[in-house]
Amino acid sequence: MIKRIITIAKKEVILIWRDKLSMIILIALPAVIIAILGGVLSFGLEDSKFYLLDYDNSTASKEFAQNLDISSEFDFAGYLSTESELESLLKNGEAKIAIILHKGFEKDILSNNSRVDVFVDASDLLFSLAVEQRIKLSLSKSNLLNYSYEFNPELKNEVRSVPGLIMIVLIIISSVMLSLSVNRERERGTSRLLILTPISIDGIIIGKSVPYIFIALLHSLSVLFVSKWIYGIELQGAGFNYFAMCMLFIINSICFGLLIAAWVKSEVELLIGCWLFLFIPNVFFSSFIYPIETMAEVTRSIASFLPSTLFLDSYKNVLFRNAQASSTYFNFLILFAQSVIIYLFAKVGFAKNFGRK
Amino acid sequence: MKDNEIVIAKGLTKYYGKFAAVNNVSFCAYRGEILGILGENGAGKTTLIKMLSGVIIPNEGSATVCGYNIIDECYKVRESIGYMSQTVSLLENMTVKENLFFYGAIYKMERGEVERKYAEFKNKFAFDKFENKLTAELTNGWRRLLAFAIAVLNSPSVLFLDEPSGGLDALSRIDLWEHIYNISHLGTTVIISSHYMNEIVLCDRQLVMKDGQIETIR
Repeated sequence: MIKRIITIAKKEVILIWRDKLSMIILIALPAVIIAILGGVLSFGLEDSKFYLLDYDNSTASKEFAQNLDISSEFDFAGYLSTESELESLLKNGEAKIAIILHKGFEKDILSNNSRVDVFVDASDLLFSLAVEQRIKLSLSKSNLLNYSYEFNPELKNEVRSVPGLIMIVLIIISSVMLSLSVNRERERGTSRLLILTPISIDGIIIGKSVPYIFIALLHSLSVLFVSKWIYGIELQGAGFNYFAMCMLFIINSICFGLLIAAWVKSEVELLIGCWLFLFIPNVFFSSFIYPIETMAEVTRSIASFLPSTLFLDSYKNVLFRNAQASSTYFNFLILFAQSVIIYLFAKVGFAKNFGRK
Repeated sequence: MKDNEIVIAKGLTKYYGKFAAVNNVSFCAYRGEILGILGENGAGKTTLIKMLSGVIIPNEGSATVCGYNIIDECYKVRESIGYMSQTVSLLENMTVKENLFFYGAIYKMERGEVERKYAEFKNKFAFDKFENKLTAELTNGWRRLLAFAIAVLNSPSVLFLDEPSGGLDALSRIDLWEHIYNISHLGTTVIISSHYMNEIVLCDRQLVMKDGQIETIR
């Protein structure tokens, strides 16, 4: 059995190597996704203009404006003279952030009793949340607010985007590319010839999956190094846990990819299946874009058990929080159980559509 | 089972919904013979061959191939047979040599044995001109020859050929039949399906199928 699995895996490596498009997707796409989407999905602010209505006109209020201005997130746009001017700029969309510093601001800082009014255009919710975070961080640095950002004190955007992007990369490699390869074999008829040989369906599936597992693992390790060298994000938990988490998520994704490939009848159906059952749930219903806590209760309970949610939670536990092993291992257990169940369903599909009838 | 009966089918029946693709088919094939199955399209030839290869499970009846039951011992059956389908399905992005070595490994053949077979095939099928060419670049005739070489690679006791000469020109057909005779002389039973009468008369015995049933065996 092992010998035959290795033979199938070797064949798959040769076919990947000779199919230039597959090679480009498998080797270069992850880097492209992280580079391009990493920039788009930064969830951060860059030179957002803010207006200041400074009733205090003191050294402290000027320092406050200066501190915000020198940060890369904010850019001082100008002083306002009245609250009606502030309101009109917000209404016309000319200003998205406006801050009021009240009379006595400087004095209040000394007595630890200061008040800052911030107006943000919340028609863009993600933007307003990002502004809130950054203003709070800035106020905390100026000792105007006691707000602690644990595990990501500098509010690095990469802490949010990198886990989600590696999740997308692993899904593309393990699910989409593998299922496309399985479907290609069916369309070209090579699977028909293979099932007439003494190798079992399990042997064919495992053999085909092995190269994709290795490539996906390689990418998850490279992301770990990129995170350290480029973004300065150090692995806080055990290396074994990181490896186990990636391995389990890759196997889980492979099982989902196989499930789709086993039940569809053409490449178009396969791509629609991947989009509907892999991308949409894993990207939009995991905590990658919208926090699970903000979802409706029904959606939340489903989203909590999505493989991507479990992966992202484990990723944060292992990489940033160095959380207790028990919470991480619980996620691992669910990922493993899901993989077994999905594999069994995939096997039924393969037996029905590829195997003995 | 008599000593020389290598394929025994008893009442094989396969339904697709209410339609009986193969209906109560019984026959036997003897060691080293070439048995031709003649029938129009849809007569049930391919379904019968697939049942005997252990790919399709019959609804009724039973069969043994090389002494192995096609239902319970399908992997044993597959180890002892060779199969060439009507549509040639090769690994397109692999060379002739790689295709043969791949299937050799799947059949758990020793590398030395595959190399010996390959050297034999190079002479027999003139593969030396194409050994490093990708299968996708071969002509239909060469592709069929390669598919035939794969089917006989593991020296099968029974070789199933499902319309093997479809799309071949006259010269390539003669060439293919020479190889079929050669393998039969070595003791392999060849069961070949076709809808060409002039091809089936080349077989030792003929089995004529119509509407899923055997019409005559001679």
